[in-house]
Amino acid sequence: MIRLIQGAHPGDDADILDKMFRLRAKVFNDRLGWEVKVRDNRETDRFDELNPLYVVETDEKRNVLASLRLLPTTGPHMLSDVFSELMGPESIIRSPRVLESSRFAADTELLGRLPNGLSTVTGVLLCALLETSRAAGVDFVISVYDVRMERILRRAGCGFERLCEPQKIGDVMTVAGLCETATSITDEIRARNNLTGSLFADPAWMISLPIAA
Amino acid sequence: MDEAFYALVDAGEHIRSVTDAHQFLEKLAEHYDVRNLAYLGVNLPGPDENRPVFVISTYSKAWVDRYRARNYQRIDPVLPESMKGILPLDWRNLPPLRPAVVRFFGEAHDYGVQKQGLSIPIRGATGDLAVFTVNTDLADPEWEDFKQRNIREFLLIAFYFHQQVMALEGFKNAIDIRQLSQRERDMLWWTAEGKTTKEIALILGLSDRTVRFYIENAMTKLRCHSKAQCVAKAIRIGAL
Repeated sequence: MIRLIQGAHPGDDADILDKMFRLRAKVFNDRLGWEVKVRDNRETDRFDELNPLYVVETDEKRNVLASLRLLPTTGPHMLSDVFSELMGPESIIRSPRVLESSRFAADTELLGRLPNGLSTVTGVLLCALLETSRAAGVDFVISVYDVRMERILRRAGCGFERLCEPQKIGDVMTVAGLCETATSITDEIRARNNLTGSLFADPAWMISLPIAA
Repeated sequence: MDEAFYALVDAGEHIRSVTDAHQFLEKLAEHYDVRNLAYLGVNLPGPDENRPVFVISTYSKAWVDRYRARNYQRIDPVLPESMKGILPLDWRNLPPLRPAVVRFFGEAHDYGVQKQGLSIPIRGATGDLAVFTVNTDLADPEWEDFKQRNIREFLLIAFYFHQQVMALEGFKNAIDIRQLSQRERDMLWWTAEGKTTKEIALILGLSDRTVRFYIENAMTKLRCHSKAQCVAKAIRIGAL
């Protein structure tokens, strides 16, 4: 089930955010070997300070299965402010109808026990991301990611398209990609992963979207 | 998304003063047939450091004066709640209201503030923050329908209006938002040549979606709402 959590105002979900930062350390530092800052077993960067919106998938015991971070491209975001070398002047994207997703992480240990665990969980998370964005009037989601992510995204039925050639940044082959929030995309993800009904933990989340998703 | 919409967007570009901005909001309210529109900006870099917030709205002067005199910003939940998030906030989704807040909304209603509201947060590149509010008296089903039809336009309008206010405040954007990138220029060039999205995708070896994305970025930068208008404008301002 999916929760939308505001970074600076997590309310009752502060424990979930804390678990998410731990998961991020495990995934980005330990497993993928990215150059990230880890303190007290938690990974955070300066964009976490900007009160982003987190989309977090949890199990019934409030374990974090997967998570990602959403930032408006009208403000500071990774493609324009960190990875601008990827696309040069094309990196400057500032539109209220484009959001940026970053720090996608999934707990492969927890998921290992489930059949198709990773691609289903990825599908649920991305579907929630796209449906939420669409309900907010947003047309596109962009992201900068490790090319190793592409296979996982594809298996979940989620077509991110490359916006540039992959480049080696640090030790990681990195690429910028684009996904549309159109119903055709979310229908495909839902069909591929047998998803029906609301993906949100609390039905109130659906209501709290600016327009019905 | 029609002629009237981009006529309005064009009008928005001619805002040179607070009075212009106010008139623009009134014109906009008339166009969308909504009761009120309101803008609040904070952290706007500008000459007047002592003015922490900048407010402009179509609310009645009586209400604005009363709001100030009674320090209603201390109990009004709309601004803090909408600034917390990155997605537009429908007032119906405000957290449960304390009795004092219920009284506040009751009083606001007596002064012409209607019950339905959508407050769109805007985060700028330099820490500037704003909220653009649409306020109507529509019944719930009509309000749902209204949002569905107009939310995408309002996202753009809110963003443009904020930029216009920043220009008023004497702030110069470090990045010239009107500057088209090479890719965006390519797209408009081929569009001007009469090519469709599909054809451009073939020519440039890109997907349809990527082509649409760049064209939409170019339209946002030049504040246009159709490809044709965008091409015309790019030519006019020498961006193509």
